[in-house]
Amino acid sequence: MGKPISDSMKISPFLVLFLITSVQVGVGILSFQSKVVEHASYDAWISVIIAGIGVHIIIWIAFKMLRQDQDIFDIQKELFGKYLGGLFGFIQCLYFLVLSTIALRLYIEIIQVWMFPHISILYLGIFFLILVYYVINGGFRVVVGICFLGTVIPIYLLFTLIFPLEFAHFHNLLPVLNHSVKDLMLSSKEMTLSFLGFSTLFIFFPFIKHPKKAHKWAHFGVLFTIVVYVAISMVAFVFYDEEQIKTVIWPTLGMWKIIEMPFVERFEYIGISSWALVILPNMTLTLWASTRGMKRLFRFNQRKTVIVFLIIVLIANVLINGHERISLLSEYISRVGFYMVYFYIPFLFIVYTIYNKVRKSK
Amino acid sequence: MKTATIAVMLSIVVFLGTGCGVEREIVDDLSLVTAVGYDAVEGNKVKGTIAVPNFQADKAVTTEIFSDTSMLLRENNFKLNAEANRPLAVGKLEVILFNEELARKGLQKLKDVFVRDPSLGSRVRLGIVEGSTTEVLTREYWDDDSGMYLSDMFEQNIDRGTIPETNLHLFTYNLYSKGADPFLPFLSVTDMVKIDGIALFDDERYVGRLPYEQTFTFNSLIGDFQNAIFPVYRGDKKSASVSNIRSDRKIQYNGKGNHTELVINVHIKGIIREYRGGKITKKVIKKIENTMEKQMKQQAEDILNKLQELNIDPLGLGNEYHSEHRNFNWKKWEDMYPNIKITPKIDVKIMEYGIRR
Repeated sequence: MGKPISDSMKISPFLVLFLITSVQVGVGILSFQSKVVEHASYDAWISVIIAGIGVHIIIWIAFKMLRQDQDIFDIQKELFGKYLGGLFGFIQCLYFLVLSTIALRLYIEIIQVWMFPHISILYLGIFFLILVYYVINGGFRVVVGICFLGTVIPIYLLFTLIFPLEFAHFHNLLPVLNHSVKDLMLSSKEMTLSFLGFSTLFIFFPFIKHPKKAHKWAHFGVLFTIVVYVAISMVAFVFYDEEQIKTVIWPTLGMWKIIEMPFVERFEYIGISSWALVILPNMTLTLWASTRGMKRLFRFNQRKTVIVFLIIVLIANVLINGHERISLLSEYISRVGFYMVYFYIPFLFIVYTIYNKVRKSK
Repeated sequence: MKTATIAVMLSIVVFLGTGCGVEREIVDDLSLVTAVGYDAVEGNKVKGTIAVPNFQADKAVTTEIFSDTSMLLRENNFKLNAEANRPLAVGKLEVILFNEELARKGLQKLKDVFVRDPSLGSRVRLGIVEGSTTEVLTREYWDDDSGMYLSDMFEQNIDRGTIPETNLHLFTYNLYSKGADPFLPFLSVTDMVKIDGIALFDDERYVGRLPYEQTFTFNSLIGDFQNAIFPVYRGDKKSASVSNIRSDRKIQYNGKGNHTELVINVHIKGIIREYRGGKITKKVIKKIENTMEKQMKQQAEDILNKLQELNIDPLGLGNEYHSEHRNFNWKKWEDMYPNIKITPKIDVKIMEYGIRR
């Protein structure tokens, strides 16, 4: 176990809601619909709920498995020893680093395609990363503050979902449950990238003041994300035709195109700009988790690792170019995340439970 | 230490603030295209015409026209750029027109350039023109430029229920939809440019049109619309004009499998706007309702016969049917559609008759 964290560094239990939500809602929400309909077509909103239930289960496992002031690195060290446990921890750190990188790259891609094709990734990246550095440098409580703002302020964007309903074809959603369970499950697997990132919970767990009280807030956070995702997918499904949505790369942004207000001809420009506030907490929390892991594993100074990692993120962002490569990377990382969250963590839970039982009986 | 960091950051911000590599685009230095028209010319080529409003000092607007031929629409834009004094920008595009001949060949490939471009809105209006689109765009529309004028014309006609709502989004929706076919307003050029019915599409190809007189009934078969006028002819002494306040459509299915019968129930609530015969009594209202129902039913049957004959489905009946039936098969529906029995059932209710008895 690491050095216990002093109470002044910890956060109130209810803030876990914002941490979970802000890390789950990211760039994925702008584009997930066209991927999720591939198998279950317009029953896919059920798949979104199924994927959400999966997240609930993992959250339940997290709170069952971790004791106060304990994180996943402690458990891995206890179970697999210093080296193997450390290796697993290191993989997780890398995973969060890549997750953070891809979040920024996907966002910059949207800016490139929708707003400024000539924009320089380097300059935009430096701007963004200075902000990220500033936030992480302020410590975990500042990261939480940004997550709070990043959830609360963009909430107004939910109201924009009303506008596309002008062209709604509600019968698209009928008949409900017209697909096999297998199709629904395959579609919910496609959902994972959008829900990823919440496994940072396993790292920031010791920072929660009363973990027992935080349990329900974590579930509320996931619930809120599911509601948002289901709402957005349903609006997209009634707005687009099934064959049409498959041809659209960013269905949510496409829906914003239909919004016309007296003071703004194209709403998506406002939407994309506001989205910076959603990406920021997303990036900071995953990057914080990554550097925190390095500190726990190798006792590196977190402030220094942040700088190194930010430079890595920047270089990676400049190097990954073109839609195909970006989506390939995000596909890979979502696959890794899928196995990490839905196979490795339950496995860890089972092993840990058996280990505890055996130890107790001795 | 802290002040030093802030200073460093500030200087970086100032240093970077010079551009970020973004190309500067000032509205005054752009030619904002408001309308484009495409005509078929010989071979595989397309003649593109672009209308750009030119705002004069005396508040009048004149239209600048650029026109050239090419195969690709963007290539066309590129060629036209060579003629324009300012770069052409399509961000404010309001109207896209195609001529009949081009629409007959299919619009699937042509619409790509518009749905691929992020700077284009989804509310752009589309229309099919009899003859040449250049003629429509070069015409003078009083103080308006042609793009604005046509866009306003479409908009008010949609609000007034003369034509059903159409725009780029709905057109692509119906184009991709398996259970629906697109339709667009049809423009004809006489002394004035006017909306003259509805152009019907089989998938991407223009195959026929409905005359202007049938648009009221067509609208009522599509769904809900309002404020349109329907003339009820009952001779010189008894004719009346009825405008609709509300209208809704419900579809009913009788029978199963190949023996399915579709009933389209249309309910219209209307107001009498004009009556030739003097005093309006309960009996007169009843009679007007009945005649209107009969006339609309006749028109509806004509329309449905035409649609089934052309094997097209602009009413989106396939989608409706799909949503009500599990284990649905598109292939089966396509075989079924031309021969399925569709009965229109019209119900007209006159609510008010103005401020005179």
